[in-house]
Amino acid sequence: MKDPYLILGLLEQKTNGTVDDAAVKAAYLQLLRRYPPEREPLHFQRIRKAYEQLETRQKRVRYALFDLTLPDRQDVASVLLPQKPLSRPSFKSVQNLLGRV
Amino acid sequence: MSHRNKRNKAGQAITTGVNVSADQLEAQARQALSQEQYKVAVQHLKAIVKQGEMSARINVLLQEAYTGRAEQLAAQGMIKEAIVTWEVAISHGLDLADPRYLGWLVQAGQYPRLLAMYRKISAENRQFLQPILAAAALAGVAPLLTVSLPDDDPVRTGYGPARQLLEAWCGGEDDEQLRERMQAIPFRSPYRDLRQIIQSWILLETNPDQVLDSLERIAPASPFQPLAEQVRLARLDALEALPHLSALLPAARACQLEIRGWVESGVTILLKKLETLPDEPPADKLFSMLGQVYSSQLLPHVRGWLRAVIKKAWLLSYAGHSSQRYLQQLEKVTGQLSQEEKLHLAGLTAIVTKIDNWNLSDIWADCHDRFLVSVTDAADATNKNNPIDLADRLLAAAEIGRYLAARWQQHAADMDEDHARVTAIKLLQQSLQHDPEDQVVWARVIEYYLETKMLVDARDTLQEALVHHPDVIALLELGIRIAVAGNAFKKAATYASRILAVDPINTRVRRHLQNAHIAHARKQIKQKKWHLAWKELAEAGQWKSTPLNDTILQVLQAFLAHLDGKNEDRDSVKAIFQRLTNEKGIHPAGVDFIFRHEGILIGLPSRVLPEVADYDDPWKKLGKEGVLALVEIVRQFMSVNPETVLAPLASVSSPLKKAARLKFSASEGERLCEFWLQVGQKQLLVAYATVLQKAWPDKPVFTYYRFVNAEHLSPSAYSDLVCAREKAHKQGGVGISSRIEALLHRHDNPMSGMFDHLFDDHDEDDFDAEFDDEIRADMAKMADLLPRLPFKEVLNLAHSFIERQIVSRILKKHGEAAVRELCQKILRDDRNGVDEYIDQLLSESQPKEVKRKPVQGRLF
Repeated sequence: MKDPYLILGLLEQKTNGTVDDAAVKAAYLQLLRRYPPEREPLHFQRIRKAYEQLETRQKRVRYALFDLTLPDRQDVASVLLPQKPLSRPSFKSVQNLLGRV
Repeated sequence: MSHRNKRNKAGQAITTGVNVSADQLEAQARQALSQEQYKVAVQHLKAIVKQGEMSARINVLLQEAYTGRAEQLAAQGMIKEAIVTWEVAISHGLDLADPRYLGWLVQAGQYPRLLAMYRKISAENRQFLQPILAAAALAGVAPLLTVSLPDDDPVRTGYGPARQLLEAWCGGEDDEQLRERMQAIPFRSPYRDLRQIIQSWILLETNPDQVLDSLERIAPASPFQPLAEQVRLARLDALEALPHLSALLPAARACQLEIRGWVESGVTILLKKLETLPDEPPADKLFSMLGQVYSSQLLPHVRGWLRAVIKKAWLLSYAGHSSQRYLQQLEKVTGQLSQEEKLHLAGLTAIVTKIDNWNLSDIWADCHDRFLVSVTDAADATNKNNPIDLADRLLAAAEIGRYLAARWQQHAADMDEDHARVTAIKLLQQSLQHDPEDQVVWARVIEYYLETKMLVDARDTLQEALVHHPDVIALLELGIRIAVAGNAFKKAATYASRILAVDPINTRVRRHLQNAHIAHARKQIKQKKWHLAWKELAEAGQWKSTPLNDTILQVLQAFLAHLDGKNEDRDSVKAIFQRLTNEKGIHPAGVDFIFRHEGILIGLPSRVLPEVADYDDPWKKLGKEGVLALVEIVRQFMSVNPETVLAPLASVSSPLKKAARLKFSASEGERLCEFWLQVGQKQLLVAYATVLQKAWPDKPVFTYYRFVNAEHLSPSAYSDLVCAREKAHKQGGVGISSRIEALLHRHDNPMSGMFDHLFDDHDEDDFDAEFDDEIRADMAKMADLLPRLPFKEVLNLAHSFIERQIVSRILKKHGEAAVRELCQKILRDDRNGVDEYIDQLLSESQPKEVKRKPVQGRLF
């Protein structure tokens, strides 16, 4: 994943115009708790890089003006695929599954 | 004789004739089994049976052959054939209850067969088959299954509660009620895995980290695994699950999509597109795919993101040919672009196509101006498609300025450097008008003015910067530097106090403050304000800092005492000299330099110094130690102000020049040369480098120092440098080699073109007249240098005079020596010799006549 807004989970806030330094930092710290550097070094690197790209208003404007990085497949998928809460499968679906052992 | 020869797929002959013994057939069967050629093995074994040689051993081999073959068939999707083949193995005594076989029966829907077998097998094996029947019962694929079983069979007794549990779970019953239902399924029930799966699902909603551990309790061969796998997949986020989806069977995939709520037809199409998209999709592919998606119903944040990506992808695909047609292609996807979007795209196109800075600046200037205009033009500025939000327009304008400034600075070396720097500073200043919060940019602009000695601009900019950032130490430090540069030492002290108020332990500023007091004291002495000078020196003395400053304070106090007539109260200059040389161990030349330095700064006439100093002249017998000690002291002074050392250095340049003859080691010499270069002492540098070059001929660095400041390079200097570069390269001195390379790059090769006029179309008399002595002398020097020149340079020289084809032939036939010899003759102005030599070489090497440049025949 490359898009810093997606990595930090701030895309919707960006559209609403509610991304500020505090929001970026809060998102970063939240992810840091989920992916501590000692346990998830690769995740941490990605999160850190995203944070450094967006941590100040000046950097966010610079990103909007000059960044030409294209998203990868993960970026595209995470934006386009509907993010819905999980639901339990139907009884019929389960029957289909168990009938195909 | 009757026998059959068959050839299997692998081309191996199968001999099953009656003349082959049972032992041989068995050996062949075993070999076929080891090679997983089960079909072949079966044939061999059948032949043994036909010979009447059946035994328990052969039976086991037959079981192995049939089961292996059955597995091969199942792997090819031929489940029914696999079942039949397996059953042959059963007829040869294989155990009925094998999970593979049972699984195929379920897969093929052969439940009556399964039930029939269930009744036949032992109670122990029944336990193994029960979960399979339980799963099948729940799947509803054999409605009569439960009825056909005995009343007390666990599959039958457990069916009711299990089905209710499953229906309740699928129907969305709450966790508490589900838990109650689960209690109705005992630990030994064939439905226990269903209970475990539902338990895991509850964990997925409440404690996802424990889901995997919970699912681990289900046996890998359990018929409930497909449902367990759904829970495993459900814990992955959408991106992690994506690669797994394509590998699932249709029923499993449909179930997972249902769990994730991806049931719309649009999502199915999207998933297919995503599955074929590479991990790092190329710009054109992204443009095409996202362009198709953009037209569908999308949430605002998704639409905004897509629009930005589509524009980038379009730009990176078609930036090279951004004609109207391509823009239309983009607008076909995104709808009409706003004016601001178009200008932004034009700016990015200019970056991508790497156009020059002038055009780049013009293009971005349009975008910059648009941002500024749109701050007040609300109608356009609120267009949600614009790349920059309304609140960020000014900042965006500032960012454009900073970006362009960085570009001008990056490419300064490729163009008029001063123009590039001035342009960059102007852009940065403009950016500060829109965004005065950037302290770094303020500092850069001020530093630029300081470096270029534009003190008024530096001061004005600093005042403006301090309005926005009154307590920023970096800016206040710049204030000290500006004040010191303008001799406003009191002001410098004020800035230093402000810093100490913010950061009381800032040692750098303490030093700055002391320097400011010392400088102010010098100024007061120069203006003969003795009382004020004493006061400043006392102030300076309160700040303990460097040993050099302590020494300076002592020297200034001694001078001031002498000038103020207070010799009785203070140490004399001579006493200070002795104390510094004897007690502090500073070399007399170094101490004398400090005296000269301070004497000049306080305006002490040069004739007065020997009077007040009254000590032996340390420059008369200046040794190596004296020179090296002096350099260290000068370095310390330079760290405060590089300008002030120039005058005292000039006053001792004569003894320093003489000292060049002292026998310095190579490392000492290199240090000294580098120092003279830094301090801009060109004459001293040449004097030292010349002596050191002779003393250390294998050190190419001294050749570099000798010529580094030369305005023009003579042919011999050029040639020396070329040799030095080669030498440095061979010695692995990458740094010096590249420094020489850069030096050579700054100068034209004095040898190239030197002889061009000789090729002009005029007769020999004119040529002789024009061939002046200077060139002749240079050529003679070149001839001397020729043996030392790398062959590459010799070859270049030869090509300047002789047809390339001829030189190549001479080189090929007679080697490098002949080419060197030829160049020798050319440079020695031996015209007959050159002609004859070429003729001789060519006649030896080339029987056919080779055409030469007519002009070369007229060279001499």
